[in-house]
Amino acid sequence: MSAVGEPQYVRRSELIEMFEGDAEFVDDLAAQFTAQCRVALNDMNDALAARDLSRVSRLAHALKGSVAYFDPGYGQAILRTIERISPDQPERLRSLVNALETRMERLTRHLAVAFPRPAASFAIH
Amino acid sequence: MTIPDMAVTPVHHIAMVSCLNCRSYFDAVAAPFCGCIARERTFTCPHCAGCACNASYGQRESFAAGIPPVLNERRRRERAEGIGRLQATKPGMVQRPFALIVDDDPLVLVVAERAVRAAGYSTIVTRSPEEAFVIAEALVPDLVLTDALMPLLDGRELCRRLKNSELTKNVKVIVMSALYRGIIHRNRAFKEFSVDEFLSKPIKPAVLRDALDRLLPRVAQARLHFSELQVAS
Repeated sequence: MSAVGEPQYVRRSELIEMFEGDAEFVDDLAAQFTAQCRVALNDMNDALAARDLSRVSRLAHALKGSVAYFDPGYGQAILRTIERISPDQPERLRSLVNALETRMERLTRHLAVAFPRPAASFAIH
Repeated sequence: MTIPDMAVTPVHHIAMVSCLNCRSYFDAVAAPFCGCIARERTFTCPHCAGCACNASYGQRESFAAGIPPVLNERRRRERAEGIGRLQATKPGMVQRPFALIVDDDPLVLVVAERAVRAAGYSTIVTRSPEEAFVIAEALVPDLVLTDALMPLLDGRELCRRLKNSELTKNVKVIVMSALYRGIIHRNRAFKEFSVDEFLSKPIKPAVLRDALDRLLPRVAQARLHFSELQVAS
């Protein structure tokens, strides 16, 4: 049993089981998610600054599918709320995006520790 | 007196990359694109003549994220010409079974492409549903796997368009959704949009493979037969 408020991120072993034992693929996926998440959060902040609330909603929708693999509970719930929020609540949206940033920062820190970085498949020199 | 055209003066850049197949280094700026039927072709290694089209969508995107501007420009041109090239391709030239995968989330594309390839399909992935319709009409895939809610064109609407087109009416379509998960949405997808299968996200490889095997049993049988041959030999 877990304490209230304790992060419920997915375990590496659960993902490896889901992807039929392919640990390398799972670690690669975690690295890609970390990079994608950073870009999506930056885009979300830019959209908020530009008061483009429908873009924030679209970005939340696009990120939700990926978050479902790593943070299927809390993280996905925040994104679902952002996606569905009415455009006439910009202050609430700002708070939700802040909460999402904090959650994703913790998640990516967890991924960096729990999922070893795979070797690069391509290299540029 | 004429002024020399400075724009045509070549500026030499090199970008050494290591081949995914033979690991040798080569200059990607000078390397030609491969001859694969792909949304975006990759460079041909001068040492082994291999390309990176078999790399996953994620690997290709990671590679593209780190390339220098001179290569990025080549990639931009290749992307711009890609649709026209595919439209000029005859459906008979595509390696079958062939699946077209559409999602605006790159990570879902990575997962779906891996599962579909593992089931024995060749794949083209795209993030644009409108582009997907053009590719589907040109290449007539055996299967289209699409997200439901996407900007510009809903995946279920894409399915309806495919089913209404004389060219693609027999293409099997699987729609995936994280939003429309309830039974009402599921029934509506089957009745109103004529989808062949409706899956909830996150997509699990085993669930997707079961759906593929149900919709295209011939492919599943061929895969089974091939694995039996491998065991026997």
